[in-house]
Amino acid sequence: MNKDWLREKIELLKHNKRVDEVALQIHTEKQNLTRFAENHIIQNVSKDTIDIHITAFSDKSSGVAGTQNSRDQSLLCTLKRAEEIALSSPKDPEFVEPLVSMEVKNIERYFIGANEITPKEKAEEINKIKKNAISKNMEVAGVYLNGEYSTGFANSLGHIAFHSYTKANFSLTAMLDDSSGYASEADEDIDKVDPVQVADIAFKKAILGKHPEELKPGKYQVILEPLAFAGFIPFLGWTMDRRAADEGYIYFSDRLGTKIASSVINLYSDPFNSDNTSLPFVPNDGLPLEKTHWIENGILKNLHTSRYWASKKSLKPIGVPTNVILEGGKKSLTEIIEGTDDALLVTRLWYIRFVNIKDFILTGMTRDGLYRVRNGKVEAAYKNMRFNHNPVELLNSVVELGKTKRVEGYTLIPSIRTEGFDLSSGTSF
Amino acid sequence: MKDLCLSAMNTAENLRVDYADIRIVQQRDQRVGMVDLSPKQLIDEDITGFGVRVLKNGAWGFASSSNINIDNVNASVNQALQIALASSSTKEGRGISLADEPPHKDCFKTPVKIDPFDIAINDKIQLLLEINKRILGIKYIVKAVSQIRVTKRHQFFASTEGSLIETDIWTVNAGYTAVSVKGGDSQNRSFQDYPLNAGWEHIQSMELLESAERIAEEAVMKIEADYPVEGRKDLVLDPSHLSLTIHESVGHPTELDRVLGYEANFAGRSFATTEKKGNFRYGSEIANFVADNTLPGGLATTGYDDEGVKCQRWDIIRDGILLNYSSTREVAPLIGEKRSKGSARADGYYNMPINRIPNLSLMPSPENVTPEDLIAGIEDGILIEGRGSFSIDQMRLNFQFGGDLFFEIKNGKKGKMLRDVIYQSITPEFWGGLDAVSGKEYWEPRGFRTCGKGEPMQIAQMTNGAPYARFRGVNVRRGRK
Repeated sequence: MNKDWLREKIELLKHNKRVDEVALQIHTEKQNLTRFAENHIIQNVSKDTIDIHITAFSDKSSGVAGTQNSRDQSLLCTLKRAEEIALSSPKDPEFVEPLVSMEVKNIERYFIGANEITPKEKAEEINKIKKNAISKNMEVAGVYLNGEYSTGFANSLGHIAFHSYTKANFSLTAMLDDSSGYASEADEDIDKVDPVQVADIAFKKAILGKHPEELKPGKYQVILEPLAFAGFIPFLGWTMDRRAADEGYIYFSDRLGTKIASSVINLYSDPFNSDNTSLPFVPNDGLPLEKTHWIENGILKNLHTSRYWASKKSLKPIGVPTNVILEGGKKSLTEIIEGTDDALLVTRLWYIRFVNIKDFILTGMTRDGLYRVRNGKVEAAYKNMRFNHNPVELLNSVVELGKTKRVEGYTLIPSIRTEGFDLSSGTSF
Repeated sequence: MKDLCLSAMNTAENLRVDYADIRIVQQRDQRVGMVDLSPKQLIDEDITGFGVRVLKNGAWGFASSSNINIDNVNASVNQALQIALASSSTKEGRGISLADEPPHKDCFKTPVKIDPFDIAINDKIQLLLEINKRILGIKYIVKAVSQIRVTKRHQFFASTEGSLIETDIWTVNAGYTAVSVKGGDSQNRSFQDYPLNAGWEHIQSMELLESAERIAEEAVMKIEADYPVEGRKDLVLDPSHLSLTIHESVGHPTELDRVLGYEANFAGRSFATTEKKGNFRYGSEIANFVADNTLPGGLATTGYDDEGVKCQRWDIIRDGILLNYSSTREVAPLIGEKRSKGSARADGYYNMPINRIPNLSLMPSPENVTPEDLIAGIEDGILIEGRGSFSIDQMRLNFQFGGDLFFEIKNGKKGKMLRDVIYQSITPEFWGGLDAVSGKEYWEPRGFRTCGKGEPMQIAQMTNGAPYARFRGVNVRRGRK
């Protein structure tokens, strides 16, 4: 699948349409995933799919039909179904015209190696790690994923955007009788994903977590590892919406241009950031994405803004971001720990959900490692705790930021030392 | 399709696999959404392809593709075999051994009175438009969001053991949310979505339109309601709320694959470990949970699961004691079970089936107990209706739930509306506090279409039915500052 294929197929649709305009959106995946638990492979799967969505636009209404068959006849049938929906739908008061042709910058994210590793090679790597785990009386579970993907958009007005990329991901949970540790690495370039190194980090965390004690509920200074704070990022992404803010029902209502976080906080998106590249356009309409500051020196600068809301309010449309970067400092996590008198070290958060969207209170649990830092050292482990907290307030109470690390393949997040993390109840492990 | 299935199984047998199966799936999924008065997400999708699973030398291989032709199907059988051979290098002992299941040659269809795809998309749009107009007609409402989803999944399943099963499963659901803003504050209130395996007749029975103004008015009333007084309180939970608590604190912890550690890297493990089977007090003596994948309308009522095991009914918890788990052909033998409970489900053709929650219900009282009877036994408590915030730890012990509508209970009477109530508990303590349930006329088969689990993430559907139920001494907090 490539840009030429998109051009050819949009021409096919253009010549056969009976509506005003038509758009074609595709996503392909050739993915291999090896999943292991209880020290053996429990799933080893290969997937080869194409998702095609065709949108028909007719007299201020639209309809979408989808197929996974890329043959011309199937595309034309899918077009017909999309047209039937559009032609039978009422006019949409929020209708926006398809984008006219405009430049969409691309960025290279395709690394051939990520597509070449075989299930056998992955199994051999997992075997090495398993043997190491057994020697430490540990059990391990995890996934090793590799694949190639593409996302494309084209419409009958000539706008076209295409992006292909590779992905590799290794994550592992190491378990002892009363503790666990987790680590993961994801990148477009499989050479940057070292399963043995990832496993080693997880092993160390599990060992450090042995014999956990109970922690009293309360508000604590915490050091959030990058993976822990990354858990909040999707919730920020869903909530930082201009229309919802203007309509008054989210935390960010009436806060644009105001100081919401510590002056050291700079949160932005940039698909072209060389350390954290991402899809450079919005998949469903091809709107190009550019560097956008969300929080600058602690001030809320922008919220993503749909094309409809932008036209209604005379604003610039801002697409939902495909990556997030929180600027960090110069200290390593170890240096932050060494400079801390008394805090908790939080390695990972789990099952985060909204409690209240207006106050932006989220709840969730710590997982796979909660430790006490005292006098510059990790001293003890604790059983996991439930939190109820607003992540923006965590950014407002920042004591210091460490070096950034790429997490989950789309965020660049520093270690964060911050005050007053509200831990309300505990569990038995 | 049937010929392709048989060809694939012939190929597998010629390649001397230990076991193989194939699923060819043709799924049509139609979604109609409305935000305020703007039709959104008018999507009609065909999701079609096949997945082949091969067991060789005690290990799995799986290959899938959306390109359905005989050459590709046969090539995928070989690919799955090669992957299985790679997987077998990490096995311990004999590796995977499947629980026995007799071969089935059968068809199963969801009983449907009105095919939901026969209802014109514009009729669906007009229904949602009218709902949203009614919601937006209420003062202080700023947002109305409504949706309908109808799905039909046609599947052929065949195995090298001789099974050949054709299923047609219809699922429908609809719901909406009103958002109010007043005095700088905001609240949501939702029509509690109620998916079933059924036809359009279920949508017609839901009183969607008739409830719209009440739902919107309640969204406004919530802004002016009082916060709860924090502390230990007795709760009465309605079926639409309790279904989620059951799902998270009983359904997931009794998935046998999770108990055995298969989900340790992502969805988590379970406190309900195998040595507790048959002796662990999970809840009070009236806590009876039955799994039933033959439940009429149940979202997991599919005749057979995705590895060809016939749907069954069994006890999970009886008289408060943990008796059994949901299971697949792979994990059932690991605890000495001779047969799988038929709980293997795959999201689409492109995923391998994994152990999922069945239709799982808290059973009602055999007596004619009403919700008012439950309320009458409370001096200081709260009635919670509908779903809100939900979160639980990865061993399924510490949980926190919100709700959608709350009423104070004082001296045996339902009182004023409350807002932003959350409660926290530990699973066995919570179910140990269950002291009364309503009769069967108040039992409802509520369900979920969006249950996530596995890596890669798979979405599954199941019904979690419940009566009204009363719990003693639960830790209540306010969900706002």
